[in-house]
Amino acid sequence: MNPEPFNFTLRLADFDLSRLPISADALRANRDLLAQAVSEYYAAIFRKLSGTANVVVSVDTIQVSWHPTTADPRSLLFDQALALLKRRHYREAEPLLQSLHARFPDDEDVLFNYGMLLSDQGRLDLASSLLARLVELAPGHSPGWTALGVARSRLRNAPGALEAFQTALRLDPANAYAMRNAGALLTEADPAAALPLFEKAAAILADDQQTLLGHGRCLLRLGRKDEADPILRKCISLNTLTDQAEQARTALRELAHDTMRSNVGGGHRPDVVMYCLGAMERFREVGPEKIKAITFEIAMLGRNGFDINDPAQKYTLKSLPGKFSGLHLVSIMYTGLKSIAPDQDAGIDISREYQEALNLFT
Amino acid sequence: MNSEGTKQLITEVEQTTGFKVVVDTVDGISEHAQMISARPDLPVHTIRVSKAKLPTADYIVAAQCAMLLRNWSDPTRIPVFNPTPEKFRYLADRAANAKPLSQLPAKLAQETALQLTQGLLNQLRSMPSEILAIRECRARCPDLHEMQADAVESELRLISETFAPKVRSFAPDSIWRNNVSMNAAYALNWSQLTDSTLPMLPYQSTGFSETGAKLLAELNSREARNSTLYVDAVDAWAEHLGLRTLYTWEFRSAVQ
Repeated sequence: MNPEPFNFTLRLADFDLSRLPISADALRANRDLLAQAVSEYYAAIFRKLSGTANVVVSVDTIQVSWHPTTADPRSLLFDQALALLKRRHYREAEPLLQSLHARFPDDEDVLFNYGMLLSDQGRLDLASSLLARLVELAPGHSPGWTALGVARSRLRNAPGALEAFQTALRLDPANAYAMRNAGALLTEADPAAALPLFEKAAAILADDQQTLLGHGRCLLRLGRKDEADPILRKCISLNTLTDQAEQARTALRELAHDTMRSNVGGGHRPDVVMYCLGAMERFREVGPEKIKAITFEIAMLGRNGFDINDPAQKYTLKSLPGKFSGLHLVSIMYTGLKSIAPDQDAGIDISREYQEALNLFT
Repeated sequence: MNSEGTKQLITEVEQTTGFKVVVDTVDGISEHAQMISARPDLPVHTIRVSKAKLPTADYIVAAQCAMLLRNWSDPTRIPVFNPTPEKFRYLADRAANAKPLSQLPAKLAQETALQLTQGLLNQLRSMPSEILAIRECRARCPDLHEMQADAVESELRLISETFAPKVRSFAPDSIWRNNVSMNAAYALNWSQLTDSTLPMLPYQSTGFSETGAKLLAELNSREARNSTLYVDAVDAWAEHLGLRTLYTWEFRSAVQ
């Protein structure tokens, strides 16, 4: 006997057109193209899972009828979705979870995984409602409360998010994701309360960029700069091309700048004046192309931040002979930028020293 | 960057060209990334990834490296694509004076025509290279398949905007047809790589499959990582599209 067909219906309006490799405007302008694309999209997904699929796209609905070769299509679909999620193949997992949700709207595993996926994709209202339904059905689901807190936090509902994280932690005091996210919410208003959460989370999620960024920021907020510095550097080193790394770089730049100023009680740095003056003299002898090359090379070299508070001459350039300290290079770069791109943000404010050097130079 | 494939490609660029690769981020650009290849006065290759595209940054960097490796296969003969100003201007003037641009105020028509013509030449210069980079990354970086699919399908959505009425209605026919022909080759390449019919649907329904296949065939016969073959491929596309007189090639050397 053939297994029962797996049928489900979706509203066409709920179909996310960005799943298709075709412009949404072009699809909306051509209903035949839209129907064909949606139909082929689902047919291809279910063909891969064995069996056959009929897809009918009408004015406002998509009806899918999958004739699987297995007697347990729910498990086949869910296992496949989970395997794809584990491999971070989110875009392939999403239609499977959506299909499962359409057919089994109160399945807790589906609510959890699909809700988190939608939240990561920024479809926050739907994510929030699915995750709220999950914790209504399973009030002891600590990861579910955490995921709901994240969705609420992304919706800028901080009190609702904090409440969800606290519930998650009450249910499972070792839930590191709940700790990390609760800590992030508390950092601004109550960093002392946030810090133990980050410390515990970091012990469990030692290589998690989000945890490290939050931990570093929290320490900065508490004025514990020396402790924040290595944590933020580790955050960047884990993956230099992420939003978290970008934010950690910004925090480090501000930290280095503050330290440089505080080393002289907030006053002038005569060494920086001399570095700027030296750069001006050198630049007078070379053309703008060379200035550009030197400035650009320093900017690239310092992408992850120079150690401007260490006087050691530990940096070298291809475009200039010699060894330089971090602060020296930043001063040359600043002077170069003033010459070739005065509106460009150098990422550090040494304008007083530059002005003084300019007065000495002219 | 965490992708092994990306790290390997960066190392390969550094070994082949003798210049370091620096990866940076940048705000407010419409492309996925900007690439500035090394010159004697700027002795690093700089790949600047759009901050809006950080989730697919590893793939974007890998693709840029694959393109660099093709262009720099012979560091004494790096091809530089130079539009010929008078021919370029002629084509833009013709577009400005034809419908639908001729219905706009003259200055706006001129500016739009120039922009569209420039876009077409940029596409001619870069799309064959992008297609070959997509293939190379597909073969060499299995850990990037998901990111690659995100990046390429996002590009496919963008380029198929040309079928949206608001875009179609202001594009001069000659420019539009050439643009869509190249897009069809790009879509066909991805369709073949992923065994999916979806990318080609808009091109099939508007009769561009055959042109796309012809352009792609020109690349298939010049797939090797060799800048001379790459120049030949761009020229072959330009012949098909009637754009061959609009540019010349120069060759620079990275070796002092």
